[in-house]
Order: sequence, then C-alpha cells, then structure tokens
Amino acid sequence: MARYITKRLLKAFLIFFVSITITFFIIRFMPSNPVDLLIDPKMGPEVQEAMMEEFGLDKTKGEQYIIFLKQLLQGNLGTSFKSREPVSQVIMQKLPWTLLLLFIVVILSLAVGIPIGVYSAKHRGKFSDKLINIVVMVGISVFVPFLAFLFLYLFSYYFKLLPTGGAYTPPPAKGIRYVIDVLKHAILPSLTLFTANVASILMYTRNSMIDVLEEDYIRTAYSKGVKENKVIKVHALKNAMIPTITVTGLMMGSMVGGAVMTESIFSWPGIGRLIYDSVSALDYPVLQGSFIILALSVIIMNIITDLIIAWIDPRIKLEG
Amino acid sequence: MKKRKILAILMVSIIISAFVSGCANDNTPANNSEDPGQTPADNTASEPKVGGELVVGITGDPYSLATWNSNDMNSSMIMNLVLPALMVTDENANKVPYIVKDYNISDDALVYTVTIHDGLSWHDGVPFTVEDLAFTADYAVKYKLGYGADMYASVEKTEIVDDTTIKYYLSSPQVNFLSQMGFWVDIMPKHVFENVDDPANYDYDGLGFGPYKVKDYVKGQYYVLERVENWPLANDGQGAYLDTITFRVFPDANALVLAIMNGEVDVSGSALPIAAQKQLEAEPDKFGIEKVNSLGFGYFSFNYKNELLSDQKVREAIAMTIDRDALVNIAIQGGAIKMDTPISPVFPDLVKSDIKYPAFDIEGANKLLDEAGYSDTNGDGVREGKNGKLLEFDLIYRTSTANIDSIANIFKANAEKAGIKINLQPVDPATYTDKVVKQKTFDINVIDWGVIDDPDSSLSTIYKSDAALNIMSYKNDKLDELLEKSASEPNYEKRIEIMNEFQKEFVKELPSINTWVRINAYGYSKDFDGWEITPGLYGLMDVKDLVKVYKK
Repeated sequence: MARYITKRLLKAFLIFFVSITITFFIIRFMPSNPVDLLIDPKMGPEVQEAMMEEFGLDKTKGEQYIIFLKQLLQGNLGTSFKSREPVSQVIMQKLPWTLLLLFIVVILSLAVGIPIGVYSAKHRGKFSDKLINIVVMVGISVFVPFLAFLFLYLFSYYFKLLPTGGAYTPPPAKGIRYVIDVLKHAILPSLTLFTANVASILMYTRNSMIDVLEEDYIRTAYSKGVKENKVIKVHALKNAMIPTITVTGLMMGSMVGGAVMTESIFSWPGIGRLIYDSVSALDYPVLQGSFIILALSVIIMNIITDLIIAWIDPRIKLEG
Repeated sequence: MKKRKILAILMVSIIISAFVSGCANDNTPANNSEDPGQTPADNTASEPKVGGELVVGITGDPYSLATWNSNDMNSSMIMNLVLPALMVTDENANKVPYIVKDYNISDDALVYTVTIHDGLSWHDGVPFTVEDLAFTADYAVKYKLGYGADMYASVEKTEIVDDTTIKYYLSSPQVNFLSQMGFWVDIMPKHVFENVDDPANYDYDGLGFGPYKVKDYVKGQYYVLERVENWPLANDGQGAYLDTITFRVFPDANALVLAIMNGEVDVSGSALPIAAQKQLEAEPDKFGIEKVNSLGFGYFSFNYKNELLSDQKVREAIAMTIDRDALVNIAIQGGAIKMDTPISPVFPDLVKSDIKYPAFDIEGANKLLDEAGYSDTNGDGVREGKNGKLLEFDLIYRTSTANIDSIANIFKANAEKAGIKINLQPVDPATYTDKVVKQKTFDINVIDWGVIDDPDSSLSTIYKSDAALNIMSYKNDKLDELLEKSASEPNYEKRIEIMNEFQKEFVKELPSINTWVRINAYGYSKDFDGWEITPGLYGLMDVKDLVKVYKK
C-alpha cells in the first residue's frame, strides 16, 4: 500500500509538472499580450514599455518560465496584472465559494442519483425506468445557460422567491443570518449544476447496476433465497458503485473550473468566473494560478477515487 | 407486478402535481406582496432629501481602487465619486471645471494657472490643496503611472501660488493639457504617496476627497461608499443626498436586468444591451431609462499596405456602399445614431460645418469603379484591377463587439452589390490586436473606439501619420499639418476652423469611414429621482450628476 501511494504520488507530481509547463506556454503563446490589449490613444509607448517591464514580459519566455518555477517552489504564484494583488490571495478569495457550490452539488447528485439509478435498474424496461430514462436524456442534453436563465426567471423574477445573483446580499449580515443568506443565494446555481450533473450519476449507477445484477454471484444469492432488497444493498450496490465513483471524481475535478457559465450568470464569485475574467484581460499569473488549482484538484480527485475503489473492490490491485 | 406499475405512475403523477401546485401556491402570496412599496404613482412629487441606500449593478469586475495604475472603467466609475475629476463634461461633451474653480491659459498655451475650490479635505481630515496637484504631476511622471505619465509629461515645473492656486509651466504649447489630465488623472493624496516608492504594488485603501468615501469592500463582490457630510460642492454645501451607494458585480447583463426588475438593484452602472432595455421599458411606471450618446464611435478603416485599398477610388467606392441607416436601425437595432461626419455629432460645435462622407449610393460606387478601370471581365460578380487582381478583401472584427455579426453581414452584402467581395474574419480580441494593431496584416477592420474626447485638439493621437494607432499606415502631409496646428492653437473658434479643414481633407482621403455612435442606455428604479446624464465616461454614475439623486 505504502509503495503504491509513493509511486502514485511520484506519477501525480510528474503529471502536475507537465501540465503546468504546457499551460504556461499555451498562455504565453496566445497572440498579443495584456499591454497591447489596452489599445488606447492616451497611452504612450513609454508607459507601455514600463508596464511590460513591471509585468516581467520584457524577458524571453524561457526566462519567464524559470522565474515562474522558482517562485512556485517558494509557494509564490506571482502577482495579478489586473489587480496587483498576490495570485494566491485572489484565488483564495474565490476558491471557497466554488468548493461550497461543488460540495452541495455533489452531495445532492449522489443522494438523488444513486437511489433513482438503483430503482431504475431494478425496474429495467418497465414504464418507470423508461420515464426516468427520458428525464435523464433531457438532463444530459439541456443547455446549461438556458436552464440557468429559466431558473432565474422563474424563481427570482416571477415568483420573487430567491435572489438573482451574488453569494450574499452586501454588506454581509452576521452569524446565522449570513449562513441563511448564503444558502439562499446558493440554491439556484446549485440547482442548475445539479440538474446538469445528476443525470450522469443516475445513468452510470443504473447501467452498472444492470450489469452487476446479471453476474453469477447475484444469481447465486437469489437462488439461496436472499430477499431482493438485501441482494441489492449487500451484494450488488458496492460493486455497482465503481463507475459512479469514477464519474463523481471526474465531475468534482472538472467542476472546480468548469462552472464558468453558471458562475457568470448567477454572479457567483468563484474560480470559473475568475478564469473567464482573466482570459479576457490576459491576466497570465491569475490564469496560471487557476490552472494550477485545476490540475491539483483533478490529480487529487483521481488519487482519492482510485483509493476508494480499491477499498471497495479488493480485486483491483493497487500495484497496477 | 401490474400493481407496481400503477403505483409508479401514481407516484410520478403525485410528484408532478405536487410540484405544479407548489408553484401555484407560491405564486399567490408572492404576487400580492409585490404590489405594496412599489407603487410609484403614490410618490410623484417629492422633495430631495438626505437619506436612502442606492444599489448599483455593474457588469465588470473593478481591477483595483488605485485608478492611476490601471485604466479600468469600472474602477474609475466607483472612484469618480471618491476622487472627483478636476474637469467634467457638459451636455455638449466639452470639458468644464468641477474641482477646479477657475483657470487661465496663457496665450502661448505654455502657462496654466489653475484655482481649485476651497473647503475640500481628504477623508482623513488632511486639507486638500494644490500641493496634492503638484505632487500628482511629479509623481505620475516619475513612476510612469498610466495616463498620468503622458499627460503630465510636458510639465517643466509647477509653482504653488497659495493653497488653492497653482501654476503649471509646460515645455511645449499644449491647448488640452488641463482638459486631458484634469479629466483622466485622479489627484493622489500627497501625504500618503510621498512615502510610497512602489505605487504599482501599494495597497491603496481608497482615501479620497469627494462626496463619498470608501466604507467597505470585497474585491469582485461589492463596494460600499458612504456619504460625506456637508461636502461643499454638492447641493449648496449639503453634500450628496444618498446615504450609501453599494456597487455589486453582475457579469451577465441579462441577470443584471432581472436584478433591477425584482428590486435587488436600483440602477445599472454599466450600459445595457438593447434587449435588456426593452424589458425595463415594458414597465414604465416602475423603471426609467436614461440614454446618452457615447463619446466613442464605430468605424471601418483600410490598410494602405493593400495595393488595391491604397487606391483612393476603391476606398471611396467602398465608402459609398456603407448603408448607415441599415447598420444603425437593423444591425444595431436602433441602439446607435448615424455618424456621417469624420468627427462625432456628440460634439455639436465641430460638426456644424456638416462636412460629410460620400453618401450611400451603390450605383455611384459601381460607376466610380467602372471609370477607375475596375471591371468584372470573367462574369463571376467580382471586379478585377488592371493587373487582374480581384477586388476581394478580408473584413476583420472582434467577436466581442456588440451586434457585430449583423454589421459585418450588411457591409458585405452591400459591397458585393458593387462587385467587391468581402470575406468575413471574426476573431477574438487578442488575435485582433495582434493582427490589426501589431502586425498590421489585415485589409479592412471594423470596431468601436471607446472614448475619443477633445476632438478639437487630440485627434493627432489616432490620425497623424506617425501615430502608433495609425493602423491604416497612411500618410497625408496636409492632415498632419492641420492636426499639429489644432493641438497648439489656443483659440477654440480657430481650432474649429482648423478641424473643419481637417474634415474636408479627411472625407477625400478616406483612411477610415466613421459610421455610428452608440447610444448608451442605463436603467433605474423610479423609487429614486433626480437622475441626470451628459455624454461622459460613467453614465448615471458621473459624480456631478449622482450627487443630485435622491430617494423618493
């Protein structure tokens, strides 16, 4: 086990290093640069040169890369071009909001997706299963911004039940009222992301449950006279969960940066919106920092997923 | 088994009906509670009074409170209430004094004597004096701070006459020195920045001297400004009316409009897209819209490096295919006015001469090209030049420009009626800058200028042959001479004369076809009154106007 984890961590480190190197150069090989973007008759070439120097963009890309790595080793992600704040500070302002949303969405998706998936598998081919399948298809194919606006229009504008945007009403209230306010603001973005994500969890659970229910050991369990509910809960569910866990891991990893549209429409101050804003301003350090967080979250989620799966199914050899 | 099926159907229908009835139940009280408090008919005639909290929605995230580091409009908008500009715009978009009380420019445009209002102080109690003005001029150049570095570059020395009067001595005549730096560069608190030697990374907390002070903020989320008691320049020394102004960021303009409609936000700080305006216009008793013409304009320009486009006849023919009515009314859906003069009609003094671009005339364009020897010999609908080169051009534009697809397509369709083939080339902003501004590898571009102010004295920065922004790479000695003259002629009437000459030459040369001026529209709740708007940078948030807004 220890050997496996060491090996896994080494591999993760390599993946991390390669991914940040690729993103470093992709970002810097974009045409133009943040200073050129300020096409402005009021800005002379001298000021533009001073800005390039301030941002460290007067150096070659190789030099910039070495500086970046050196800083990274010291735990320094650089300074934002836009706000002149340390990137770590910028990201730490946004990350908790994204994690909050992610946490709510994953819990909800699992709590709803798994039982319905199992139910659907149990009633395979029946009317209820077909109905669930239709709903799943709609869920998978729905256009997220459309859904977001539909919710906004219905719940904020028409029924006036929920706030339109932001993570809380400024200035923030204190204590429990603040928590309630945040939760109220989180409902619509969570609901949007939940609708977009629950379908895949439900579908994976259903399909893998159907596969498992056809296995020999399930038939053995039935023939021994074990009750259906017990067969499913004790014998089938654990094994059927493996694809679901993989999907959940992937979903969590990508949701850290993937909720750009949802975060923008609901004015949610998370990482997705930060990436969007930084792309349009070509704020290299913030982009780079966000990608580091993204790479880390995907890598960490992968390791955790593998460990959980190995724990569930001892047949999967960790040494592999 | 059959029983189960029925049970399942029953369950599903119960869930559905519960959801539907749940919605219906929620519906009734919500609709009822919507009425009280939002019946503006009750509070029509009300007197301005101190009090009230205004929530402003903006679509962009301010970069930082230190406006002199970045030229970000959202930061400047918030800070214009905290650090008001020396000069502001009037209804004709001319610069007029605000923090400045009076000024005098010497006949040779070398010495500026500027007097500021008394009684102003920084929000920490330190008096606001011309010491701060002198300091800013020096500091901005020393640390190459944004606009300030260029705008104060010609200051040779400053002389403090007394607490409220300062003299700026310039190294070369500059007629727009005060109207540029006084409009664009915020004055810095000397007592804070004299101890700062790395202003780019200094964490400035928003200390100002305006009618509002920074109370509280979380970057990217909200900014709360608080009223300053008895601010001398607003409402006869009472100060502004509104107690607090809270700026909130809504990246999506449609979400911002919904927030205005359900009362979470009172006014849009950012200009609204047409569709959003129409939503607010549907409820005229609750919401108002203030519209103002932009200080910028949309234009097509030609790259003279392209051999065919360097022929004036080709440029003139293309100018004749531009249908401004269709662009403004169909493509931009009425959200702009036509601009058929080289200088924007927002500046009435400069367009009184009515010197216009060639009018829309496809037949005329065809005739002109026939005469110039461009004809379609092989019958493919595209004309050819003398050496057989096709009149075929790429039109490059940024996908992020509003209504741009319709604009490009209308332009293309009309040009093709004159036998000129146009290939559309939509790109992202970074690619656009690279191709158009840096490499200058394009044929025709179409885009908006955000702000072109003081056109009587400042156009040399975009139209002079050696200007960095002469992306057209054209050279015209007469235009250069006129632009130079206008920048050093202290008499306004004479400058207008010079710019009329410039416009006459410009519509012959045709390096750029200026086509439309956008109408910026801002929505507000009728719970508030006293709104005013002039052409400027910040719409309804301009400090001189916002201090008059009050809660009904």
